[in-house]
Amino acid sequence: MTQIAAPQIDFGVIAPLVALVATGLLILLVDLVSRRATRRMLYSIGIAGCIVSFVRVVMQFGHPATTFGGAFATDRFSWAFDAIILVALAASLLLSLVRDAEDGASPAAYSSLLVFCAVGGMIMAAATNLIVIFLGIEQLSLALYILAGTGLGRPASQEAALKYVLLGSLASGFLIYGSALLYGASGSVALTDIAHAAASPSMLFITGFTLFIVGVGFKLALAPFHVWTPDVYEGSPIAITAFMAVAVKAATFSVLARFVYVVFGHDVPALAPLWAIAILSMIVGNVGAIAQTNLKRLLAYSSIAQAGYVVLALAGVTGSGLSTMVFYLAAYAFMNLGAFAVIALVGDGSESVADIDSYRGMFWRRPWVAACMTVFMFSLAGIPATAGFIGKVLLLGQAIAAGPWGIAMAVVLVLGTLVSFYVYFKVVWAMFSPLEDGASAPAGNALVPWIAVAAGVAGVILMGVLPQLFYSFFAT
Amino acid sequence: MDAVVANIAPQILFAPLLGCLLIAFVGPRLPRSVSAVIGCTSVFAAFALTVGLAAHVWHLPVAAQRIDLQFGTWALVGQAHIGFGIWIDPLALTWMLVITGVGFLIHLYSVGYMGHDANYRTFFAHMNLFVFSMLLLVMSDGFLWLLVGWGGVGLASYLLIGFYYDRQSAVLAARKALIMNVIGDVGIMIAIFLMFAHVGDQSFAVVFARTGAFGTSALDWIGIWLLVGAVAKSAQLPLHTWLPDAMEGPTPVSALIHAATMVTAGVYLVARCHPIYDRAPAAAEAVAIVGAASALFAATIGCVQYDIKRVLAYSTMSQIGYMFLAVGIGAYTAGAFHFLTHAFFKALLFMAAGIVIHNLGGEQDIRKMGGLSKRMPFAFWTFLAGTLAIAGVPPFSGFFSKDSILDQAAALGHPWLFAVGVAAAALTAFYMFRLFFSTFAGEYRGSVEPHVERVPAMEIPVAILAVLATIGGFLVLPGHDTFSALLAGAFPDAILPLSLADFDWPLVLGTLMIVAAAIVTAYAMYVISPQLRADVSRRLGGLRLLLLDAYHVDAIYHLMFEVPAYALAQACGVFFERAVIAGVPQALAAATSALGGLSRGWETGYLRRYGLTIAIGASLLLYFVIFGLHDVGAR
Repeated sequence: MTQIAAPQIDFGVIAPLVALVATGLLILLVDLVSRRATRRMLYSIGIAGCIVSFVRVVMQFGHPATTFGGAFATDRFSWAFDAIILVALAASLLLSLVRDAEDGASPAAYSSLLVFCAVGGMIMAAATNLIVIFLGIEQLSLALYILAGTGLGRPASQEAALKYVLLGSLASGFLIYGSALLYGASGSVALTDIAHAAASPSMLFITGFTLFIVGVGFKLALAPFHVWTPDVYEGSPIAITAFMAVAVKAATFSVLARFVYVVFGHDVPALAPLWAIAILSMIVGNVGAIAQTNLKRLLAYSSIAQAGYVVLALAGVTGSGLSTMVFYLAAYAFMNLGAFAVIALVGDGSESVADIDSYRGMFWRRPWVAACMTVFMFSLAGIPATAGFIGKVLLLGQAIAAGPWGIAMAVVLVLGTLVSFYVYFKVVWAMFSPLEDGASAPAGNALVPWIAVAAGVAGVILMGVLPQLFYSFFAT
Repeated sequence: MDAVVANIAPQILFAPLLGCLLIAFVGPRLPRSVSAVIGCTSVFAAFALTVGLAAHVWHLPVAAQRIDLQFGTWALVGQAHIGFGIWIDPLALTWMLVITGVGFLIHLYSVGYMGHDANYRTFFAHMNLFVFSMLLLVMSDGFLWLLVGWGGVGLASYLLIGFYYDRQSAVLAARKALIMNVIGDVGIMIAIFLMFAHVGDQSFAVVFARTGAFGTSALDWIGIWLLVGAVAKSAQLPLHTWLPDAMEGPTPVSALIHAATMVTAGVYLVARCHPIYDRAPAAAEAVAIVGAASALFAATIGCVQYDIKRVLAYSTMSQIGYMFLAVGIGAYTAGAFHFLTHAFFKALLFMAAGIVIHNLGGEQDIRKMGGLSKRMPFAFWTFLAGTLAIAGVPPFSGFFSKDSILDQAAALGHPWLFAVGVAAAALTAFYMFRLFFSTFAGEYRGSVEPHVERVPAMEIPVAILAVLATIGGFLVLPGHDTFSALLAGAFPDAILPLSLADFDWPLVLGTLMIVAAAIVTAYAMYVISPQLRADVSRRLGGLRLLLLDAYHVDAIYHLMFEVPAYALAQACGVFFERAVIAGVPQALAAATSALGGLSRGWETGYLRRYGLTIAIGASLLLYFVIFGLHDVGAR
């Protein structure tokens, strides 16, 4: 008689996930049973669930654990990414609260999908074997494909969703094929077992790893797998774009970092493709952003370049790299969520005001809006006293110590930053240039996006002025 | 950690910042007088707390008077640790007392002086920002936060010089001051880099304790780079040209920033870094020489200027030269003492001059003054007290402090520095009395009858400062050297008594004779005989024109720096701009259209094209790994 041994599940370890899943189901149930459930109510449930989950994450601090037979691990690393993902989820729900965010899609479906999307991200942050990684990525992606198309009134949104789902499937193909080859080379799906095979990599292993990088590179929008990014970012509803830019990127980086650190543990030649696509991304992202006249597209190219920057944290595969990566991603989260929140703010929750031209003279009509946007642009460019500056300093320090590839990436980062000054200052310049006669500033002024904007400003400045507060959380 | 100090010190630092923020964010919704009240109150609160703190610290044993408070870590990256900390010792306290005390008086004065200005609130916000930055500068426990304060006072100075932003000259002066100051900031930054390179830290405690780890040459370089910063901030040769132009700012600003406090930051820096300069003889000598040269240089220019505020500006530069001389030869207490008395009498002179200017409707040319002693007796008497003090006439405060410096220059074996100091003292007495007589004696030469308005808010602070300028020197009396005793805690190994009992009386009397002669000369030329004055002017001829244009330094800098910079910019405009900036995009555009269909067709937005891009990218990567990395990977 065969006995099926069910794995021991420690629910304490997966409590943050359970809280989120329950939240998503609750939203659907409330919508089902109550006719009077308003959008505001459903979104509030989502935000409340977000907070509960965040508290559960905080309660895990200091108690790393694994469950599902070691396939799911919570540790300092996953907590940091969980925090970033949950912040992004809360911000995204907040931004969706403003009028017409989902353009007529069912609010319950929209908000629960967003929550399930975050569940996928958190699975990725804790995944320690290829199957759970794939599961997390698909959980995240499937929900996201739908969300990208929730701008029902705009054909651009439909187009974005279609492009995203088709290209995303292609990338999943690369990822699963790469995983299969890795399994073939090592005989296991657990990262710790794959590490044995990595000690003397076979051709099978290297090919598998490269295909894995292609799949991950697609999710991270690393060039040349970035092609979908501008169209999808521009077409998706603004709150979804913000979530994509921050949470998806953070979750995927957590997978990449865990993979690199667990499987290789030190700098190896097989990582060269990763360094190469990081360099290409910094170039493509920054140069591509120059010509953009739409802020969402501009931020899409910016996110391509920023993803390239973050790869620098892995250069050399040393201990400080992880804290650097977490710091930069947290900084990136604040400044991107902030910038998207400004767009949502002035456009009353829609992307109607995303042309750089509509920001012309903003300072003279809406000084606070312009000031906040300036902070975010400064941070994206890496001006001192903002989070972006400290983040770049840390990245450069990491890369310079990491041999020829690291130095090459550091040089490209500096050059890319120079180019990006033009990109970000173009926005600042527009806001501070004289107001044209008869032009009127966009009127959107709802309270909810203001909360997200203010949190973004606070985060950017605090991380720029008191970096130790954030850095030491992860480093000690 | 001393609990009293730990509680009070941060409050002193943040009271003016709080004031600044309140005025900036709440002020516009309240009546304008509220802004003035917030501005004055916050500085006064800082002053009262400083007095309490000073009383506490000075009751501690001398060895315990240096208190280094650590509030936590600001940044810890690699080996570099940078903390938040406050460093309280008698030297810092001296500066804090002047910054908040004199600062409060000048805030009070501004209530009257700026009363009619439309940007009243902005003015007080900037003044409070200045006081905060200056306090940060002197209270920091390391070079990094000192540099933050250093930059902050530069910013506040820039904002306040350019306060009348609708005047082209004010904007240009502000810009000039900022650029000169940034040169100094870079000097300090380089000094900090050197410290990190040698001991991996920037806090006073570590750097000063480990001066032995540097080696003399490195210490000299650090001393020189710190001096670059000090020279720029304190308007000493050769980075002095911004100070006369800075007189474009409102008069209270000149009194506070460009006389009493900010411009003495260089003196503070050198005195604070005495463990470095004590072991870096070449750098210390450079400090002394720069000071002596500036003292004499500025004094000569002061003799011919006609703008009342410009004369005072050059006298400031000259007096700070004395302080540099003092700290350069190791007479730190004498330098700090002159800082103290100078803050009293120079703020007094500026504010009394401000009353004159205010009543004359903005007139600053002394050729259009004269005979004001009857019309403005209050300004007359207070300005006289200031003039006597700066000229070094006993028993006014300047006598004690300036003669302490000269006496120590002679005692420590610097006969040349002593001689230059005496010459500058004579010139000081001459030009200050020239200014005084031209303004107050003789007949009124202006065209508009002065409109005398007596404002208590302006007169009370001036009166207080007049008293202080008169009696401030009594901190150092024969047998009672209070000031040195107070500062003993800051310079445990480098204290030099100032006591008059140790004065070399023949030298002091000789100096006094020369000063008296200079005053008599000024009296003869500017009161008794205009004929004599005309003769002297004629005789001086070209020299007078040279001095009137301040040795043509501005013109020389223009030729040395601006002209080449503009030429380079022009060249870049022609070659770089046309060839590279315009050329490259044109070439790119040409290349793009040449590639035509391929380039433009690629970004079609068609899904199949995107899929193809990904597939090509993946293929290239695989090709790269399989054929490029095969050998390396297989190893």
